[in-house]
Amino acid sequence: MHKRLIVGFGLTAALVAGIVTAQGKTTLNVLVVAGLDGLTKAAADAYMKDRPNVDVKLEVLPFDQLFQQIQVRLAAGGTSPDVLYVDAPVVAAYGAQNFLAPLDPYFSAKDKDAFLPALLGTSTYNGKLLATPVCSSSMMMYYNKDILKKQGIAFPSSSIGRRMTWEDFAPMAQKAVIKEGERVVSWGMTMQQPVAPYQVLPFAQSAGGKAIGDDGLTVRGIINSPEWVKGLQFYSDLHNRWNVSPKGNVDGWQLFESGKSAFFQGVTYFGSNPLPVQDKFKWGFMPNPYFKGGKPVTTTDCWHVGVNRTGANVAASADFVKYLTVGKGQDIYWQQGQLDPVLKRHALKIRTDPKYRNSAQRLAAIEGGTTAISRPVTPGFNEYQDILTQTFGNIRNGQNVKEALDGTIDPLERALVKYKR
Amino acid sequence: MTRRERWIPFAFLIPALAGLLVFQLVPIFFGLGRSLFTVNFASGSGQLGFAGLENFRDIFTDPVFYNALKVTLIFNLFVNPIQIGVSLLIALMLNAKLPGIGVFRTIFYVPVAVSLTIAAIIWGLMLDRDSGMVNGVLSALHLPIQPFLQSPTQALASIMLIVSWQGIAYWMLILLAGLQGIPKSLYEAASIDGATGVQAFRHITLPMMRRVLAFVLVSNTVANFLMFGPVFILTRGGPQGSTSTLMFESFRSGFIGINLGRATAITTVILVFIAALVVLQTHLLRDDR
Repeated sequence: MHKRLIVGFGLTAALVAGIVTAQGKTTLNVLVVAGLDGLTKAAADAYMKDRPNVDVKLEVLPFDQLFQQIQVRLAAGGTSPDVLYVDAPVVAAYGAQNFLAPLDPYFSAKDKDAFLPALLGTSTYNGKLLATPVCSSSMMMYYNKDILKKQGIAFPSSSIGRRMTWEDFAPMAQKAVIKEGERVVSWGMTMQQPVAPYQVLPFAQSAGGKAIGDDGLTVRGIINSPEWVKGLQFYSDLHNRWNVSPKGNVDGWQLFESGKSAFFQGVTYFGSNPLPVQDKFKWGFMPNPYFKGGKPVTTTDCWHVGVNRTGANVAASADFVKYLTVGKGQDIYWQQGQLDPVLKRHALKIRTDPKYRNSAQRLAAIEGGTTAISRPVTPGFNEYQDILTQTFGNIRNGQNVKEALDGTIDPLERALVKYKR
Repeated sequence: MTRRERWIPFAFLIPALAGLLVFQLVPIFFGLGRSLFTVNFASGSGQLGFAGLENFRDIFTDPVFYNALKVTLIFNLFVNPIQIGVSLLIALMLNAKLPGIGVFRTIFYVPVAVSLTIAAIIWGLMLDRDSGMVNGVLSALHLPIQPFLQSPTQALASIMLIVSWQGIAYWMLILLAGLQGIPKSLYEAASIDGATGVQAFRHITLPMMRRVLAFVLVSNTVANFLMFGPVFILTRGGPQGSTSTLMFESFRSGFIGINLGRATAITTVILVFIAALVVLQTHLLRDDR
C-alpha cells in the first residue's frame, strides 16, 4: 500500500512537472514570407534543439498579404507575431510607426560588425537597430551565348576588372536584337523588374545621382537632378529610341529563358542555382555595367527580421532573431538556401573557396562588399516606391524623362510631408 | 392579425438587418470616424490623434485627388450609358421569339461566369503591346500596333472595354427579365392600333421598364464608382495617372501610403457622391413623373 502510494505520488509529480514544463515553454510566433519558410523552419528546428524551452511556430503568408497583415496587426498593438519578416526598405516605415523593438541591447558591436556594411543601411532608423538582414541579393547581367555568337558579338567578360560601360553595352544590345520585318523576335535586353526602383535606381546612381536626400525625405533637386535625367534617359532609350527592351507587361526572365532575349538583368538566384535553360542554350554572366565617368552601382537587400515591440516575449524574440541572422541559424540558412551572403564570413568563404571560382555567387559576393547600395532609408519608402514605379513605367512608355521626373516631385513631396510634421 | 403575428415579418428580417448592420453600417460609421483621425508619423510614436477635418483639407487641396475624381467621373460618364444602352439593345434582341434563342442568351451571359479578376488578367494578356493577341491581329492586318494599357490616352478606354464586356452581360440578363414581364397584350393592342416598332418601344417598353431601368441605372452606377480590380491588376492607376480612380487612390493611401485617415476621407467623398447620384437617379425615374 505504502509502495503504491509512493509510485502514485511519483507519477503524479512527474505528470505535474511535465505540464509545468510544457506550460513554462516560451512560444514564439514568427510571421514568414512564403518562399523563405523552408529555410526559416530549418533554422528554427536547430534553434529549438539548442533552446528546448522555446517553441517556434511559423505563420507563412504570401508576399502581397504580408505587408497588409503587418500593417493591420501591428497597428492594432497585438502581441502576435513575436518575430516578423520585414522587407528591407520598409524597416524605416515601421520604425516611424513604432512597430519594432530596438535590437541594440541584444546585438553587440561584434555582432553588428559581422554583417556586410551595405545591408545594415536599411536596418537602422533614427539611430536604432530595428531589424537585421536574413538574406541578400545582387544584380548582374546574364547573356545567351548562342544569340551573341549568331549576331557576331564577342562574349563579355565576367571579371569585375573588365566591367563594361553602358555606353559600350548599348550598341552591343542593339546589335543583338533579331527582327523579322519590323517585328522583334528576340530582344536585346530584358529586365527582371523593369519598373521597380530596386532595378532602375542604379541607372541614376551610376550616373552620380542620390536616391533621396540625407534626411530621407527631400526629393526636390535630387530625383530630377541632371544625374537622374542622364541615367533615366539611357533607360528610356533602351525602350524607346533603340527598341532594345520590350515595353509591354512581359516577364523578362521568361523571354530570356525561351531564347527571346540576348541579355537579361536579374538577381544572383538565376545564376547560383543551375539555370533551367542550360539544356536549351549556353549562357554566361557579366557584372552590371556602369556609366563612363560615373561609378559602378549594384542593388542589394532582401528580407530583414525584426521583433514586434508589443510582443509578449521581446527578449526571447530578439534571441531568435540573433540566432537566425548572425548566429548558427544563419549558417544553416545560407548553406541550404545558396542565397547571397549577409555575413562577412560567408562572403569571405565564397570569395576564397575554389568551389565558387567563376561563379555568379562569387561575383555577387564581391559586388555586395564593394558596389552594393541599399535602397533609400526613408520612412516613406512605400510611397517613394509606388510613385517612382509609376514614373519609371511612364518613362518606359515614352514620356519625356525630364517632364516625368519633374512631375514626380509634387506628388512625392505631398506623400512624404506627413513624416515631417 | 394578433400582436405576435405582427412581429413575424420583422423576425424574418433580423438576419438580413444584422448583416446590413455588421457589414455595411458599422464599417461606414467606422470609416467616417476614422477619417477624422491621423497617425503621428513624425514623432515616431505611431499614436493615433484627432485631426478634425484635416484629412479632408488635405485631399481637397491635392491635385492627385482631383485627378482621381476627374478619372472616376469620366469613367462613369461613358461606361454607364454604354453598358446600359448596349445591354438594353442586346436584351431587346434576345427577347425575340426565335428558334434556338436560348443558345444565344447563354452565349451572351457567359462573361458573367468569369471572375472579373481572371477576366482582367486575360484581357491584359490579350491587349499587351508586344505579345498580345489583339496587336497580333492588327499587325497581320498591317495596322499600327496600339499600346492600349500603356498609353495615357487609351488605358482608361481599355479598362472601360474590359468592365463593359462583363457588365453588359450581367445587366442584359436583368433587363431581359424585365422585358419578359411586360404583358404581350399591350403590344398586341398597339399593333391593332397600327403602332410601329419604334412607337411600341417608346410608349410601351420604356414606360413599363422604368422600375427595372431605375434599378439597373442605380446599381450599375454604384458598381462602377466602386470599380477597383481591373485598375489594380492592369495599370495601378497609370500611365500618368490616367486610370487612377477614387477607389484606387483610396487603396493607395490606405495600404501603400499607410494613411488610413486620407483613405477613409476619400471613401467618405465616394459615399457622398454615390448617395447623391442614387437620390438623383431615383428621383428622375420615379413612377409619378
